[in-house]
Amino acid sequence: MNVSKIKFADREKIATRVRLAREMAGLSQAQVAKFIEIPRPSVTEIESGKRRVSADELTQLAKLFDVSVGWLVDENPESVDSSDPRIQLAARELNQMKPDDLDRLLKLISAIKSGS
Amino acid sequence: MTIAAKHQISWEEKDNLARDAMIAAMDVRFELGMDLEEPVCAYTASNKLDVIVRFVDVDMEGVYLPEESGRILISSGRPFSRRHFTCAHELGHHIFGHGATLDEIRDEANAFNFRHPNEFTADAFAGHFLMPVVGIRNAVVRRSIDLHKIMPAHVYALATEFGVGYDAFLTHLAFALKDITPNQRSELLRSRKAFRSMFKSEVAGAEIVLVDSHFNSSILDIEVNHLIIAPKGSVSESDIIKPAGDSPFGSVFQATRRGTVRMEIPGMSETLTVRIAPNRFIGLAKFRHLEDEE
Repeated sequence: MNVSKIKFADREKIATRVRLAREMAGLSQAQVAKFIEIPRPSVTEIESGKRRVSADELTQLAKLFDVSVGWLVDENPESVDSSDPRIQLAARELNQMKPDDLDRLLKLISAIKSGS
Repeated sequence: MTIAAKHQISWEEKDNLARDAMIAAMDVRFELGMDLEEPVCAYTASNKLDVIVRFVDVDMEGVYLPEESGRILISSGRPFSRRHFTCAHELGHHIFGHGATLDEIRDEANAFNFRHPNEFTADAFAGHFLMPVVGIRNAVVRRSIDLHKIMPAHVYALATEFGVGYDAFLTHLAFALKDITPNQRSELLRSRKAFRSMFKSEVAGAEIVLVDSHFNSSILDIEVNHLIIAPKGSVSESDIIKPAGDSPFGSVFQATRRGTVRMEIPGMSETLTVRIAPNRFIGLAKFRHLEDEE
């Protein structure tokens, strides 16, 4: 995805996705600040929608959290379609999964999947 | 109504799949620059193969996604050692190029009586990757263990060395390597409880790992609250791992928080690095033992 062409959704949506992605990566705000070399309060401000995120920072955050930039800026759908033939996986107990768990899995796949 | 006959893997098919899985496990070890004896961390191995591993809050065992270079998702809610085995299992799917659409998976699940052959292959890969026959037999010889008289403490020491659970180690020893009888396995599974009762922990169900002087790895992965039994005279460099009493099998230590700490173990030629993850960590595996920043 060409980051410079991203139409920025409102900051609050990005803030929510950044926070969710950080938590899914198992990192604290302080750890994120250290990794991408910005002051810790800046991470707090990004996650509360009080600070604009640069395209470069978005790319760094997406790489750090292993999510797609498109998902971070709310361009990817929240979840993937379970009948989408492009979604390939190996899962031994798909038929036994509860609907809530399958829903969470499909949302995760959407976050991880590149925005192409 | 006619019910379609379900396919069941024959013994011959299983033998062929298991052989292929064992050869693939050896090949991956060689690709990683490892021999057929040393213990392997499936998370580190995946990372070296550019497969990203993530622990997730989803009630399942694990999933492999062939997305880009490959992704492995593992349920954070499963027992510690099982998650490690699951990672190796999903890595097996990656190595064999498995993957199907959700609809195909559902259809195939209905077509096979027990397990899909790919699942059998991935399980066999995980067993041979984590517990190579040469490594297991050398570890047994190094400890002068008579397999006819193998005791729970031996099983704990061997399972700890190879990063697998007590049950998984016994199953591999009995059914894949056939080094003990199924009856011995059942007896050792029964006597596990009595062994565990010798160690008191404030945390119910805290896992026990046993590091002895023959331990053949410089790295030990555990979680907060896990108990480490180590030879008397073992020393931890910080209170991340704190002393928690004595036992007939050595000093007892308990992990108190996330991080990395070094331990000196009498008899071991090198310092042991202990990596401690939070309980039921949710996140990318490479961050699991990162120390908290102030």
